[in-house]
Amino acid sequence: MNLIRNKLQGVFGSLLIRRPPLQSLTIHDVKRRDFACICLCTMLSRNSYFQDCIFQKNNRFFQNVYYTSDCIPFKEKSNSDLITTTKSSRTHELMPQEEVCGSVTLMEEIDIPVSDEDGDWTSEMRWITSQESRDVLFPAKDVSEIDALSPELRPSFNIAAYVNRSETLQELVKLRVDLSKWEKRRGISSFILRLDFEKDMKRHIMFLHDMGVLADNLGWWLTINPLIFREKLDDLHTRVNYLQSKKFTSDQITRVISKNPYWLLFSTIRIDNRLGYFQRTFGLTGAEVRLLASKRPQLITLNFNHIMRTSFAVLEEMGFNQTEMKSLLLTKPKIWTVNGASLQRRFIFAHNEMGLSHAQLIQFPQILMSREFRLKQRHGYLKIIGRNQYDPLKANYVSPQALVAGNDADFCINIAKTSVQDFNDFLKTL
Amino acid sequence: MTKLVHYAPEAWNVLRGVFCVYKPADMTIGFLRRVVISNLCRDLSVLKPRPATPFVSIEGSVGESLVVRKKRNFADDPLVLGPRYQPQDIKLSWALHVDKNISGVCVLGLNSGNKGTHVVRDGRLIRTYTVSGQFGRSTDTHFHDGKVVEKSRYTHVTRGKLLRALMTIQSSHQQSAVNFLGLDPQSQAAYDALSSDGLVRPGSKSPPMIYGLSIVDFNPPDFILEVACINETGVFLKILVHDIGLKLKTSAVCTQMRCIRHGPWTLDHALLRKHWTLEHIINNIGVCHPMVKTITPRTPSLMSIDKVNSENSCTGSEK
Repeated sequence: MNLIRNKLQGVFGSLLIRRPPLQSLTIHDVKRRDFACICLCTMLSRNSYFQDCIFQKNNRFFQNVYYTSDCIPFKEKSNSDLITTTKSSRTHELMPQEEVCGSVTLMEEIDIPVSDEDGDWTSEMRWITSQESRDVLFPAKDVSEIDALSPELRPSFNIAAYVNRSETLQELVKLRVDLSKWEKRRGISSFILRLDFEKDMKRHIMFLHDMGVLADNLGWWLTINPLIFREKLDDLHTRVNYLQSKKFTSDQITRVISKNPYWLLFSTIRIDNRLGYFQRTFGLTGAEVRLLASKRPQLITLNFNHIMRTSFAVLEEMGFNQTEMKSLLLTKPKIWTVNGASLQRRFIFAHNEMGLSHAQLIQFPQILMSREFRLKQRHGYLKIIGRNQYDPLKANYVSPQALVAGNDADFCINIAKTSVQDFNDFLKTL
Repeated sequence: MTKLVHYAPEAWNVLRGVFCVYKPADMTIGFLRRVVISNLCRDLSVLKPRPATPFVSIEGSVGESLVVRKKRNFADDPLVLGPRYQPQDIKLSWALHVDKNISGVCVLGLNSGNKGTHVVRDGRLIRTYTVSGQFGRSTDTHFHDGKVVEKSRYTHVTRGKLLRALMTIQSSHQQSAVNFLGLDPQSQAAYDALSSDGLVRPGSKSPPMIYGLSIVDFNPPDFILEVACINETGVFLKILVHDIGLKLKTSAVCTQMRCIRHGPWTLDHALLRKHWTLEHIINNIGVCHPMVKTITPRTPSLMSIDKVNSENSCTGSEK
């Protein structure tokens, strides 16, 4: 407690010095709210200086103070020094709402049952509990007696602390949602913990199932996109209707939604813009746009900068022309989603070292999707044994597609026609 | 003795010790570490995981009868806790730092086997490299992918001239090896160390030392050297090639550096990138275990490696 008092001198130093009616209380750091609560208690336990502290009676500050166990209970110490204030009596610096409101909500407008007697907090506490009942941290309403004896849940960094108490989280685990991945994303845990499976999630999940997301895939889908529960169902229906109006077949819609969980977060205007962008930039017909969107739905919702950068690389740096780029996009749209620098290195190796022409790369775009070291190893080996012949008009032709397909054993037997041991020995000379 | 392992904790328990991989060029050792660790996590998660601990709940009211039930423990589910084996659980470090441009044998330690990497490091083992070079140009980084800063003719270089230059460098290093012995040259200990059979190693930290230099291949402008050395770095080997070029009145650039031997570890023991999997690594740990045991402890003088190896094989056959 002494330590806290010392800290208090630092944080609230200015307040302590000000003997005249203490009207300002500034907390600059939301994260320190618990500390601030302890400070408040300390202040209250010291007598005369703070008799004219002014707080709001019905905000959560008191709730926090109440919960802080090592402080003196509020009832005993606070006599008449706690004055309920109205909004008008507060100066702008009295309670910096913007900063504290992250954790402390001032609920002025709601009609809160306030008892006039000092020190009687039962009705307020009941109200607060009713407000918080949906949070996992607070016990459920229909607890049996034995559960009430168990220690209450404390704030935790992990969802695992709550999962045995929360029906909602258990339902999600049964759906094979990976909660550990949600936990690593900022804001997801606090968003999910406030939701109720029956009220907030069930209809969304049924909607997804109706749209054709397979039950096995649902866990993966929700792991990636938990924010779907924030969307209104009407909006989701509108977004699906948009696809129908654009003549996507039901199979295509199913594929789009189940392959790209983020698609449904995009408003129809944004999706329309993006489909329009692809149609304009690559000169696609309507059917081709639908083919592209269903073949690689992730591409449509990808960052525009990345798409433009890759298009530039394909056109200017690699030297394909517009029609070649279009065929590349339609046959291997994944090229637009991979790392740009790596793509560039693969192209340089395939074009300059292996001597594949642009036409061959268009014909076998798998070369550009193969990992660089694999390409180098296999081409290097073929070069050593003199089989690097990628011209179909000459004898001993090696198809570039077959070069990157299959594992090393397949490659050695079918393409290089040597033993795997020889290939491994070669790899140890690189 | 071979044994089939299905249970992940069983595999985890044997996952400790020193093993040896073939590091490709153009891969930093930190990247190699991440690849190996993620491969191990991937393979461990495929095996049968440990079962979740049961959740015991007491239900009912205190006044009436209480029921104790064993329930499914959601808090211990891999979906809630994350995978049973995560990258931060695995400790992996290397015996000696290997430069990005160097490929070849790289000795790593896994989990409690990291102690073994200290033994390897303190053993001051001799490493052998094949260093490829090319006459006729020199670059700002002394490596072939750098910016060319100089070009020169190299037709006057012959195998004999190259050999003579190598011998000069080797003899100067052998002279300085005595200076870095870490012993008083007038003492009995120094006499014993120098007169014993084997190589003279530096006592403590020393600059790089070359113990052997030979030509593997000479095909101007390309040439391949074999360098046996200690305390070397990638930069040292690159500058060595550069200096050879200058000694021969031309310029040279290093094109490849490949570590073919690190003490008892040779290319035969090294695992290729496609073999950086749980199964191969566990087997390799078993192969490497006797080698770590027989590493000569840290002394000023090192027994000849061949002699040590032959002794090992003798004792091995006796067993």
